[in-house]
Amino acid sequence: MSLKKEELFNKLKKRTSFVFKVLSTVFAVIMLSTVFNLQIIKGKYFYERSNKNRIRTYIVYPQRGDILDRDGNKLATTKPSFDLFLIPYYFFHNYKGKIENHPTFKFLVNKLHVDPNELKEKLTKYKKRPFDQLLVKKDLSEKEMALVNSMEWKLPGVYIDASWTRRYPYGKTFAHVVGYVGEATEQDVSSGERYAGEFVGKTGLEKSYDDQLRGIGGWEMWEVDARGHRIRMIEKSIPIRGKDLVTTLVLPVQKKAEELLKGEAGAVVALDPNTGEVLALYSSPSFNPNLFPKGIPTKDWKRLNEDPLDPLNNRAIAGVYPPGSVFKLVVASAGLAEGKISLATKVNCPGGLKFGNKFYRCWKKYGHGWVDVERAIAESCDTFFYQLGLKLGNALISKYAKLFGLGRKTGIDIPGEKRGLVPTKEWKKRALKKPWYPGETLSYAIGQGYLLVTPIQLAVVASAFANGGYLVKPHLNYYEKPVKRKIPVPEWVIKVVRKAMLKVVESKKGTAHWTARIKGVKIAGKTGTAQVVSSEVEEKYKKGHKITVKKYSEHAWFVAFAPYEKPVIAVAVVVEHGGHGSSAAAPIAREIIKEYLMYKGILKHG
Amino acid sequence: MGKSRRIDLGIMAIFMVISLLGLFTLAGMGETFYFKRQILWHVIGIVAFLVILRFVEARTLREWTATLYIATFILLVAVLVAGKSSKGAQRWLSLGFFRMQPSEFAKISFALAMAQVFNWFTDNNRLPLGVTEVAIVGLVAMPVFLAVLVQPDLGTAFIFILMAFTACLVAGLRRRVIVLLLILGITVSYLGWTHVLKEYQKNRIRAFLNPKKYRTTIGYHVIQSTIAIGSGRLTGKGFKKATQTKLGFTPEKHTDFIFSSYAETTGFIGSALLILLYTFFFTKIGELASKAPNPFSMYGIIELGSIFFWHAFINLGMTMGILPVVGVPLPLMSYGGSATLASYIAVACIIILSRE
Repeated sequence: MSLKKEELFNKLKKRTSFVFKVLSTVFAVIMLSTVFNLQIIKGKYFYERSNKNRIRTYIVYPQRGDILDRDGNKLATTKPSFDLFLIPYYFFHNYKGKIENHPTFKFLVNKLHVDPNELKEKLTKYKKRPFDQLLVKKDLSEKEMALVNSMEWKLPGVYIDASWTRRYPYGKTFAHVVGYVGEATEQDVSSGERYAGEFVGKTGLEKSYDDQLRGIGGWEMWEVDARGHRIRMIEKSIPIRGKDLVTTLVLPVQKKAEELLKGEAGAVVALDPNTGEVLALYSSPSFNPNLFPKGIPTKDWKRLNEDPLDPLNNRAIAGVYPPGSVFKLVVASAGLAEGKISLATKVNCPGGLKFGNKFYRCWKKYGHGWVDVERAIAESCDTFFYQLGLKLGNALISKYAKLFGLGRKTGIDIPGEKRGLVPTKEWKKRALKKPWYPGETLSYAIGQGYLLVTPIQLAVVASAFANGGYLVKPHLNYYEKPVKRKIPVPEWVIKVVRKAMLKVVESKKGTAHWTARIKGVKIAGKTGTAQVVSSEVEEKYKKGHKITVKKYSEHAWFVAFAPYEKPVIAVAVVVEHGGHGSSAAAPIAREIIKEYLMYKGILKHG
Repeated sequence: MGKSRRIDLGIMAIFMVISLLGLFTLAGMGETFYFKRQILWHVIGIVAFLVILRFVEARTLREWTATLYIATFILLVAVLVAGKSSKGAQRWLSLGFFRMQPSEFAKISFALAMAQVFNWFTDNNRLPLGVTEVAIVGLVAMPVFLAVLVQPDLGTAFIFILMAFTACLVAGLRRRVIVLLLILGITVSYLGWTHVLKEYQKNRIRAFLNPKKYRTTIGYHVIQSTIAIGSGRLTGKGFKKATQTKLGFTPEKHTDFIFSSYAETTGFIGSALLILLYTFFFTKIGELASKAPNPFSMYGIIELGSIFFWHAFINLGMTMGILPVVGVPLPLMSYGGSATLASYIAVACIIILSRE
């Protein structure tokens, strides 16, 4: 080291010594004075507060924010309620017998009809945190309150407190999308993330926006007697109400969806194709979310879980089906974009295609004759797409399926979304340990076989054709900024397919001509019929109560957007075992579109 | 330069005494599971400590800095991709029998990287630091800082800033830079509040800034923690008699909030002792740094020492309610495998660097 550097180094060393002396002194002074203040000056005060037999801190639950539709209709709200709590410390104090023989336990089970198993389980768990508030029963009736009040002196640690109970005014209409709340899990409470007895979002928007909705809790410090009953309040802090959540949902459209899917299993998703705003999202059969905020009775929970039609499943985002002919929109785009076909390419359809030693049928037994790509989409000619499929091969079909967002979550802001399946060759080798057979490409090209999609994914596909080739991210939060990404497919390709979709409805021979037209508005769409194995269908539907046994085994699809010139709505409808897309699903889509256009004032009522 | 294998007994003595106090606190909580596991971690730590002292030299640390830094960055990214989520934050990599928290080790390689950077400044006469130099520090710190911030682990991200800041204190800053940093700091905290922080982190800060009005679950925990500490009074409630902690009122009592159990058990006498032990520990590190054989070693010791310093400062501050809850463990006291092991490695590096 040179002399100059040596000098600098010595200077730095001195400064290091100084800096560390200062830091250490600052540390010692701040920490010692704080701990002195806490333990010596305020020590007596804190010591008394730590003595739980005399002074108790009660949590005051905050009011949860409302969930609203875009017009301010309350989809989820709260009402004041009186809830019954118990402090386990006083319950177990000086008591040696079995839990179920405790007089308080007997009273709660016999007079207030609390589930004995659940209560016992809770009490056992709360033994570790004996001063936490154990929620016994939510929303007491006046009669129950009178009963508790008259007996309170006999019930150590039991008290009634004013709180809030969640309510869903529209019941099952918004059950899947809004979700429901339930009591915080043991794990969340013991890790300190939640208050004991707090109600938190379990599914849907209630879950994904829980942080915003829940608010901030307050507390009250009370002097209590030896049995844990409150004598005098010492100090309190007021809770802060949670923030409201405004959604993009449209009440009349959602109601319409519920009405149209009555007696069917299926789903409806309606999006604003320009922004990805979710206008309606309904899954049928639905359930009553108002069962949950009071703590769902075991018997109801069992019934919902054992129902063969699985009403708790949100089919709109978690139901996976083969897309059937709707997939032809993607395959046609692939063919045009890759130059495998042109607008002039014509294929003769004699009612199917012989490939290998098997004859692959077109749905139209006597054939379509010579068809170009536009007619092939409009009349859903399978033969055309068998040939196109062979030209494209698995790799290109899969590539375009992925470009249109299939096989991947759309990113909608509610939990539980499924990603579906794009069956690449690699996937088949990995999952089924078998090679991809060329014949499978034929089924793949018409949307049958291994390919699986969710209704929300197809709504995004329909949106892409509506908005000129952008992939939107569906969202429910009204204030979320729209995100869209250009799909790398030439604009003219999107235009061609778009026009063909118009022909589906407008052309006399279009598959949805007789079922999807609305007077005064041009609708563009595509039908789909997804084959399923029929044996398991019968089984499932025989048990189904309200829903009648179906003759058909196929799922019916319809995707659409309207008005053709300047689309404001894109819809995907699936009806499980509904039969043909044009007869079962298209009328539903039509009515949804009609309802929304009337809501927007684009169509006049009547 | 003669090689001396002499271990500085002073610093290790303080280190071990604080560790014993930590084990004592875990035992007092009746958490046998954590107590046993923590002992195991100390044993592993001691082995790592001895191995490093025997086989690693200051020169090696210097040569391996870049490699270590890149490796920890990769680990941090791996956490983001495959990590175990806890409370909305991804911090752990599951390695079979235990969960590793790479951010604990990232602090060490970050310290070495900073030492290299500041050493380079010193060698090239770039002190006190101007805008360019601070930008270089920022650029070097950026990868690990961002990787930790998006986990999101606000506490550790903040520790990185404080570590760089400590080295700046020694190296000196030009006045222009101080003004610029202030402006930048304000802008970043504003944007961070509106765009980066998650709701639970904001709640923690709100609870801290306005404790009377806003009581989140976390704010509630700080009250519980201060009650526990205060109720220890002069002499404490005695071993295994810490009721506040025992009855489950104090959150994360064996990790981030271990000081509240300790203070409740041992009272002001114990807390003052612990605070003074830490103070001696830091003074000792300062001494070693000011006797370092070369600038790299000096900066290395400063940076490694500052890990301990800022952890203790933030942790004690938050458990006593004078700083926001950011989830930073108390060095040597808190239960935690990665943190304990990292402490042994850090102190071993300090000793190596201080060798002639």
